[in-house]
Amino acid sequence: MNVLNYTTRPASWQIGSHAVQRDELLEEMLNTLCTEDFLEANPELDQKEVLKALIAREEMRTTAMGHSIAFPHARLEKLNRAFLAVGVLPKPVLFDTEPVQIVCLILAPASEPATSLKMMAHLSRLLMDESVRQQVLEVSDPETLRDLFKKHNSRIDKSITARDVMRPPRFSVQETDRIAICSHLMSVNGLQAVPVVNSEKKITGEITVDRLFRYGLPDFFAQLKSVSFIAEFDPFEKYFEDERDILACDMMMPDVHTVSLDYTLMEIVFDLTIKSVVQLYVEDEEGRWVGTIDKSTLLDNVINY
Amino acid sequence: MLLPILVFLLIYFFIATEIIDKTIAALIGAGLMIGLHFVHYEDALHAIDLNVIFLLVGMMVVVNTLTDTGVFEWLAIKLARLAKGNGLVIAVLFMVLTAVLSAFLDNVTTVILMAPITILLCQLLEMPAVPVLIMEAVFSNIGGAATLIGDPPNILIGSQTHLSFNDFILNMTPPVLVIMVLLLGVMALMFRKQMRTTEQTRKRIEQSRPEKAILQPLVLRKAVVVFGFILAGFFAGRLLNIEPGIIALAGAMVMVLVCKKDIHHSLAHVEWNTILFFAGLFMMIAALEHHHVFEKMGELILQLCGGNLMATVLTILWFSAIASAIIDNIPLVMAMIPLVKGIIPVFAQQMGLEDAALIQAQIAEPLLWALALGACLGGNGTLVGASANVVITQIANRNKCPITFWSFTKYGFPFMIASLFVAHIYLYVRFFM
Repeated sequence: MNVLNYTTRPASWQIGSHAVQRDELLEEMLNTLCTEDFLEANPELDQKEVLKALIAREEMRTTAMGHSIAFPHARLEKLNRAFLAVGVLPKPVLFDTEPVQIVCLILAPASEPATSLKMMAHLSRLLMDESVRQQVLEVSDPETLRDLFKKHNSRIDKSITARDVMRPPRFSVQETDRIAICSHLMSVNGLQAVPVVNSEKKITGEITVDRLFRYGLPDFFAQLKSVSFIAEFDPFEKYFEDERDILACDMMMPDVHTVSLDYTLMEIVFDLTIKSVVQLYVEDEEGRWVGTIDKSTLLDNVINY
Repeated sequence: MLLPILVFLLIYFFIATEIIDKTIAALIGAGLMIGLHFVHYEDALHAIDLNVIFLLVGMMVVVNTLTDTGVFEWLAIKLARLAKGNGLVIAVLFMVLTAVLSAFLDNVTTVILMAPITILLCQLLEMPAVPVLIMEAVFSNIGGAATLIGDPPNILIGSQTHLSFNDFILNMTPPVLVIMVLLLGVMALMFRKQMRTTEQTRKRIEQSRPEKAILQPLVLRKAVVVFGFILAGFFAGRLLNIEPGIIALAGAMVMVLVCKKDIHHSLAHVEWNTILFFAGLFMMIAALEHHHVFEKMGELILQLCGGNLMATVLTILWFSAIASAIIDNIPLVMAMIPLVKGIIPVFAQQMGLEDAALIQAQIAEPLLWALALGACLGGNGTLVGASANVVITQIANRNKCPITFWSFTKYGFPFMIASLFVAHIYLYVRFFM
């Protein structure tokens, strides 16, 4: 299959929206996409419900993935086949905190969950290419936009890999950061793990919540069957007071789970669920950190999308 | 005869120095002995004492079932409350608990159970954990000597010489009790200043909730009942003519069944490396026996002791103790048993005894009790003398309570000498006065 099979001419190729807000933009794109033909083909579909579903998905977690790209999408019971609309904006619109200029809006029937994931995978792969992205941003009419996508043989039967589901790098600490900074960063942002990155953007280790606690707690704690029999004793201040000034490089665990961009979805699911890895770090060919995959990314991409 | 001895000494070197993991060393050694045809494979297999293996596996399953219930934490916190938070009394009671537990459980298991709760309570009471931990290792070795199932040397001696569980209770428990009382007194004198607790820390013990320590009350109740039956089985073993190994193993399976434990989980927690270590050693010793090595060594000892039984008994006591203080007592006892068995008929002939019961009572028993006392108590001599010492040191060091070779030996060695003097006097009074 090809992504162009899911587009309609000309409603799918939208240039020059002047919307300033995300929801306004989504509504505008839907209005263009939901032509009479479209509504006739999907008689049970309510356009307002579709908009609601799109917004609900955005509220759950933004679909912006960096590099000015976003994939607003919805799974719909009453849709007969998948649809794609591509919008290119002259001025960026904020998706959460991310400025977005290329919007790939995807509607998929609930019965075809893999289609939207594969479409997203293909489109993100295509648009991550700097030169393609530049060409898309410079397009001035819908026909040229369509030709651009047509030119890049947009088949979507390749299997999904790490590059398709990863999230761009966000939180990290440096080797010389103090642990107090790491634990603050993790608690403020609700992180389970944070990578330790060197000056070349390469990951040298990882600090997890579990590690932070295990490092401070004495070993005998782990040997006890329970501690409920002690009613009044809080030695934690003492246990953790020495910990605050330790450097990240001294506490980090060096065996980080790094994977290549081509790591398959099957392998990712296996590592995160069966092997209980907290977070996978995706590296490019030079070993630089380019993305992160954790369980919630997986939920977004495999179950909730 | 020389080659098998050389192989044995080489493997023994690796076991003693721990350059290679002892299980790997023992099994490679067994492979060499059989591969080089120093012993027939069939004979080597027959030498593996399944009674010992079954006893070890059975007791490991029993301990794991009991441990999961949280009963050991409960016992410890109960004792701490009984002592009303008085540090010295707690230390003394913990030593008694350690000794009693090791009399029925493996020493290493006992210290693994005791060490974490001991460190926690010492932090709670703000008193030093190191001396208490060292003493726990010492008392686990002493308590282990009291019964047939308390320590591997006793298990081996019991299994290979037809001494029953009750024989151990009658002959080993009394001297062990005397040693304990004596050493508890010494310990209390030594540590009376270090173990002082304040009112504030004692309050923490007062406020503890021992009942919360029991995680599986129903399982615990059932397990204790089955454990009681297993112990009764040990006591009645001689009467019923059932060996302890099968009592422990079958009893453990009853416990797993009654407590609705997952058998895979229970068996996964058996220390198979220890079990295979025993199997490897048994096969290696079989090769030496095949070449009559121990008979020759027995003759040598007899010559050294001038054919005097009392001198031989006391030599065995002190020799096995000093040797156990330096090297692992399991291979030592495995090698000493055939040696002792070899010299029994020589003494019988010399003393003109023909009645088997008399030979057992007057010659075999003093020799074997000397071996058991020496091998068990000798473990306290140095840090590396017993696995329990090594394990407690590892736990202590991981918890910022450093124990060094000398800080252990400083207490362990004099305690060993004192306990050996008691054993020496006991053997003399009991058999030669």
